[in-house]
This record gives sequence, structure tokens and C-alpha cells, in this order.
Amino acid sequence: VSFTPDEPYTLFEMPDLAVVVAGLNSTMAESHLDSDHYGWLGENQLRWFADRLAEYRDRGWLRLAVVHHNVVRGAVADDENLRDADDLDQRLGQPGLVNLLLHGHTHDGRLHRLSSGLLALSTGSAAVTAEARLREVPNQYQLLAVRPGGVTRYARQYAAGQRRWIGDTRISPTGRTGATTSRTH
Amino acid sequence: VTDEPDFGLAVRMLDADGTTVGVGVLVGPREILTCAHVVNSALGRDRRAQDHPAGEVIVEFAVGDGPPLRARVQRWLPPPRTGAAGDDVAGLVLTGTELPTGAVLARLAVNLPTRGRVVEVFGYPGNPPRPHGAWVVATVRGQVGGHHLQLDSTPDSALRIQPGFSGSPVYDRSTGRVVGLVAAAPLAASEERDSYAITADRLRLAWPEILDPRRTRAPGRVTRGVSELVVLHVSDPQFGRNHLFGGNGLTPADQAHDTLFRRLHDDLDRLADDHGLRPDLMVVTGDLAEWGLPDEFDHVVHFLAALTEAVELPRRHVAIVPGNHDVNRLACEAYFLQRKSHQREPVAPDWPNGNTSPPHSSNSMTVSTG
Repeated sequence: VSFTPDEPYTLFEMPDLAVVVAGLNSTMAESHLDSDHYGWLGENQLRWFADRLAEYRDRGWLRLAVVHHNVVRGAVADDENLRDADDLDQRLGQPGLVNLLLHGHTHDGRLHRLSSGLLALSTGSAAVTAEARLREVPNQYQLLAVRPGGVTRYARQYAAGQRRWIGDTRISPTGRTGATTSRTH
Repeated sequence: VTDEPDFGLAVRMLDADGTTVGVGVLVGPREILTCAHVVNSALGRDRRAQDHPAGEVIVEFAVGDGPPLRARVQRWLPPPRTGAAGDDVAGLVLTGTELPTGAVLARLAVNLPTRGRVVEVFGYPGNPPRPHGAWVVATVRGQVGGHHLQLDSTPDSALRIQPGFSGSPVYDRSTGRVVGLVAAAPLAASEERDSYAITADRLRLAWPEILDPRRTRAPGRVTRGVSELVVLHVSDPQFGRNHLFGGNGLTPADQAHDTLFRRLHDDLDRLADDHGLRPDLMVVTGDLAEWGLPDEFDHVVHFLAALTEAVELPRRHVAIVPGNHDVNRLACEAYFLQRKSHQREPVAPDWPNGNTSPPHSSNSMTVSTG
């Protein structure tokens, strides 16, 4: 996998699974300067993915979009968010273009529905130390069982004391797997 | 991951006189994989005979001291008539059900080793003779002709891959997996050190019922009649200063268990066993590193290679995007200063140009899971 200056973002085709993953690069603005420390995709990138994803919709493939930054501008410091999240929703959120959007960065597994209705799921950091994450959020990862029209989320949390991963009961209060089901585009 | 290559997976192929003619590998409870030309030799046929052999082959496990066993040929992809390329695979099924104590099922690699990886090959060399078999160290030179791995015997190794190694498993100690089957080797007396193995990918295609259970079922799993696709989503592991795992534990042995890879592997195994959840693809949503530094990305590469192999995800089913922590700020600053020195403005995204920049130095990111 590589992101190069010539092609800073990647469309991952998985023909044997009939899946395509839009690998969005939200670090387009990032530099060593504090003023550049925010998420940004840019119009060109969003147009590029929107054009390509339509072809895969017509072929009946599952379309996932993945991006690092928060797509919902809820963070305390707005620097932490994807500043052109509205543009993302406008271009990729149109019904049928992307089935499901996944992101990270927040160190907090959440579920959001963008204005378009596109489902956005995040998961926390799999491995940062307690000092580098929100006090109430453990280390997390997730398994997603995706089927036409819906997704079942198996949220996992790391129980440091037991040195193992267990169901994340914050995401789902019942069931040891921490499973919840949601509708997708 | 095992510390010693396992003799238990190797099988000696004998001819009617009890002479070793090659090697095979145990790939199922009764299934053995070897080269078709080894079977031809064992049955006293022409090396390049094409028709499906009817006779039983005598085999002897490298472990245990029981009597030789017999096996029938079930899958037959005959050797090429001329030249070195082409199919040369035989799938054998033991006529009995008893395996000797210590026999071990080999697991085929999902992702092939890259150039320079050190692998080990088990065989029965005649020069110098090793009647009980021996492991020989070799280096992967790369893939040739689509379905073969070129291996070079290590120059300082006492033994070299030679004709008695045909059908021998090529073992990758770092993953505990078999990456191929030796199909062609130079004569022991020759100066040549290159030999060729049929890749694990090709072997899987040759006998999918046994070697590729994933291919013989639809992707994902079926719940209440609906087919599902299982996505493994990992984010922000931040290999570097703030990475939680590594070094926790009293003894070095305890500490070796404390890696993100091992903890995830354990949990994914449990979810597969208890709930039938097996990932079909993996996405990593950025912040793989802390400061975008080369040694942090070395850890990332090691983690991804180990995890994808352990949960049998081919590389082509992994999608990664960069996060802000994957950007190397020092390289960005260097780029800004360089532009300034030329009285030019920096251009976003801030790619350092040319070949002077180290890898992973900018908003461009390269992660190879090799």
C-alpha cells in the first residue's frame, strides 16, 4: 500500500470479494506548523472518488469509504476535525454511492449518521497508552459484519488488567460480543 | 510462530527399493502434497509421465518410528514435458488413518515472502548424505514465471538444496508457514545455488478442496440465509512512544506475549471459534505511527505482516489510509525550508521532492506488508 505525491489517495479494489474501498487521505493540509494541523480532503479528491464509486455501484459491489479524521465536527478543538466534512457528505453521501464510512482519530468508537443518512462508524485507538486517550474510553477495535442494507458491529475493548480483548459493553450494554446492528445506505 | 522448523510436517517419499526419491508435506489429516515427478520416480515411471498414476506410493514420516505408510494419488497435475516451468503437483491421500506421533499439519502461507527473506528447506541430501533428513537455509530471491519462487542456498551453509529435496516444504520460520514446495534444484556437484519452489498460491489453486477452504465457500459468512462480509477495523495503533503494548510482563518470555499482534490474534481466534466471525478484509484508519519515523513504520510493517498472515488475509484485502501522526514533521519542515531557500512558497500537500528524502517522510506514506 502506498500513498505517493502523484497519487496521495487510493482506491482499493477487491474483485474476489466484490468490494471497493475508497482510501481517503485527510492529511492533505498537514505539516509541521500548528496552523496546518487539521483534517482536509479537498474538492479534487472528493470529485475523483465520487466519479469512480458510481461505476462500482452499477456493478453491484459493496462500497466502503475510509478516512482518518472525524467526519462529525464534534471535537473540543476544531483542529481535530475534518474541516471539509460537509463537502464529503455532499459528494459521497448521496444515496447509493457509499454504503458505509469508517474513520479513526477520535480515540473513541462512535456511531453517527451524516445529514445525507450515510452511516459513519469510528473505533478508538487500538494501542495508545491511557495518557493519550480519553479517560473513559478504553483501547478499541471492531469487527463489522456487513450485508445488504445493514451492518452488525462487534465492538471490542482491551481489558488491560486481564491482558485480553473483551466485548465493549459501552457500545452495546448487552451481550458479551458487544454487538449492535444498524441500517446502511 | 514457532522457534524450530517442524520435522513433523515432512514426509519422505520412497521407491519400491526403499530409496528416498523426494519429500512431501502433510497438509491435511490424511493428505500429503508433493511434486508429480517425485511420484513418478517413486513408482518407477518416467520422470515426466503424464497419466494419472494408479499405484500406491510408499511414504515415511520424518518423525516417529512406525512402519512406512501407503498413499494413493488423488490430485494430479503432471510435470511439464520440457523445461522447468509448469505444473508439477501431486496430492496424495494416505490409505490408513493413523498418523505417527509428532506428525504436524503444515499451514500454507497466505502472503508470499519478499526478496531477501531467509527460509528453511527440509530434505534428504545425498551429498553429504543425511539419512535422517536435514534443514537447509536459503534466501528468497523473488518470484519468477508467476508461480515459482527462486531460492538461493546460503553460501556458507554446509548443505545445499539438491535433487533429493524435490517436493520439500519451504518453511518460513517467522510465520510458521510453508511458502512453497521445491520443484527444481541443481545437482549437488554443480556450482549453481539457485533452486525453484512452486508458490503456496499455486499449490492452493492446484488442490483447493484441501488447501483453500476460503475459496471453496463464499466470502463472509451466512447468517439466516444472508451472506455477510466481515470487516476488521483497526485504528490509531500509533507505534512509537505512546504505544501501549510491548515490554509489559515480568520475564522476557512474558513480555514477548505483550504485543498488539498477539493480543489481537488471540481475540480474533476466539471470535472465529465462538461466533464464526472471520475477517474478509482489514481497514486501518490512520495514525499507524507516532511521528512518521522510519523505525515506527518498521513496527507497523511487522505488525501488519504478522496479523494478516495469522488471520489468513491476503495483502490485497488490506486497505490503509494515513493519519496526521503518519506525517513526518521534520521532513515537512525541511521541505518548507528548502522552498524558502529558493524563495518559493511550499505547495500543499507538502511533498519533499526528488530522491533526497527518506521514505515515509511526508504526507506520502508507503507501507508494505512484506
